[in-house]
Amino acid sequence: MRNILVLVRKEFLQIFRNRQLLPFMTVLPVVQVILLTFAANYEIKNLRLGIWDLDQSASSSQLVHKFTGANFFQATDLIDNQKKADDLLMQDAIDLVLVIPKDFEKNSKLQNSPPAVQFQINALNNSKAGIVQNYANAITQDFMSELRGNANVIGSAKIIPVTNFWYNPTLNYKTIMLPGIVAEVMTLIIILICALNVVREREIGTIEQLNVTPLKKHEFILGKLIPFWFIGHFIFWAGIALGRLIFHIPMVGSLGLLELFLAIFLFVPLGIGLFISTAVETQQQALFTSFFFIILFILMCGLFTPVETMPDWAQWVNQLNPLKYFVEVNRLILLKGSGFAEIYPFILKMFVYGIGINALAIWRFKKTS
Amino acid sequence: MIFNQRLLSVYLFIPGVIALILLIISALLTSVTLAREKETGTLELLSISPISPYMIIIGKVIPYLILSLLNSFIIILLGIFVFGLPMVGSVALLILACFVYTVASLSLGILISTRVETQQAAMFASLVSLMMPTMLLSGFIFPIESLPLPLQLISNIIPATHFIILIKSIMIKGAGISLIWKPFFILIAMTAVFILVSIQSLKRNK
Repeated sequence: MRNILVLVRKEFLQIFRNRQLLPFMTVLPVVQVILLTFAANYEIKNLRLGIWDLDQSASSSQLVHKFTGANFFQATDLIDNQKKADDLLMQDAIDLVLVIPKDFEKNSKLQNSPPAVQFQINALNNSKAGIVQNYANAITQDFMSELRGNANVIGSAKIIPVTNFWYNPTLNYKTIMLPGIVAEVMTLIIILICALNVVREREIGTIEQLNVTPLKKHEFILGKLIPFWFIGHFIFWAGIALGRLIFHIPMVGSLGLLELFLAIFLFVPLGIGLFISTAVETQQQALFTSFFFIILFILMCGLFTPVETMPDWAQWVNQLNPLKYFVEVNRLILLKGSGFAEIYPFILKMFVYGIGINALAIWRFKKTS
Repeated sequence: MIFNQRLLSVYLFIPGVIALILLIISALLTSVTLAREKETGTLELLSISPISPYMIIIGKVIPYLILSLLNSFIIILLGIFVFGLPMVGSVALLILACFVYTVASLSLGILISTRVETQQAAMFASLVSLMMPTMLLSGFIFPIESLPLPLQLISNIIPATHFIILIKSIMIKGAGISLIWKPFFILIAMTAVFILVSIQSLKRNK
């Protein structure tokens, strides 16, 4: 036990002495989390709208008015032929062309005809195009129901869910994103420092010196893991605390439970880092191997693209992605307020995963040195 | 829906992934190798040799330039043949875009390496400070228009933002040089700044 404490002290001394690296491990990630969470926003304003009004009637100008008045759209160009519409879309000068056909006024008075306008949406960015389409549909339907009078209850009842869905997204995204981004940044750093640290000792030869001391292997490894375990805690809770202060992220569930999960979870990235370090020769190799895993973990963790839409094989591979579990647990505890019974399977999985990967790393470690 | 009839997310995802991987790999490769020379002391040897700092940097960049270009072609071919990304525009223009972007990323790596002392610092600087911002601010995951203004400014100084515009314009829209000279120009200007600043710091270190 004393041996471990001495080693932990040595690691902390090394960490705090390295003035260049220390901010990269502690301050930078937290600053990044806060900064990047501001980016977590799918709501778009000032979409550039091209108007192609073939009808030139009172109704059509009312519709145009409704679009420009809604502060999502900004009329930038009047268009009178398809060539011009194509050119503007090509130059990325507009996001949407609103085409109002001839006889729009006449047709729109008929109760059963569908809204007869056309949208030409620049769909290079698919997520943005989806939003544009939803805004445009909502505005048009709204206009139609106004035009046909409120008597058409069925028509207007259909519209309401669409508008409600799109008008309150900002706050939600940030609260979902922040804990996820914190977990991502923390995992990235933990895997990397753990992998690099051991390899560095090997590269500069100090591991040889440790090998001739009466230190046991498991003491050596625990001495390495514990300091990084604390750094992981620091990054996570600093990020969450600032998130609470700045973005008011909800904390419905128990923080103690989250801490319990975190305490067990951290051994997984630590073990992955350790395992990488046993499998490579130099710091450069360790870096590129870690990068390979980190980028897969981050892009597949379900924060940016839902896990459920991935193909089966990817979902199967994703079972090994520790971040996937963390993102889920974050949501369950912070947003939904799940109790121990619901989190228990996740804790168990992480426990088994942690033991498995660390055992594998220790086994490899014994073989290589 | 123009340019992307079925609203496929690969149209956004593949250019984003290409930009991210190219940037990280190129910046990492160069920053780490130069930092390694510093750590092992071989940079001292180079700097007392009659080779000028320009030559050192050019010599360092060329092998990694070839590697990274190869890398980008493999990813783009995978994008086209495995994920069905269209290739409407000119191949020469696409190669030029990859070339310009790779050079920009490599020189960013050199800039990082002149500012750090150890390999670990170089790695953390390149990976931690480049990866998440590139991913989240380049228009890869969140639309740039929806970012708050300060972040939009940051987004503009991220090379990947401009590369993603280039790739999408060339591959999906088939745009010619007259439409996309601006991102090209910005990337080249960035490269010039990175190289000038790193030569300055190399000279100062001497």
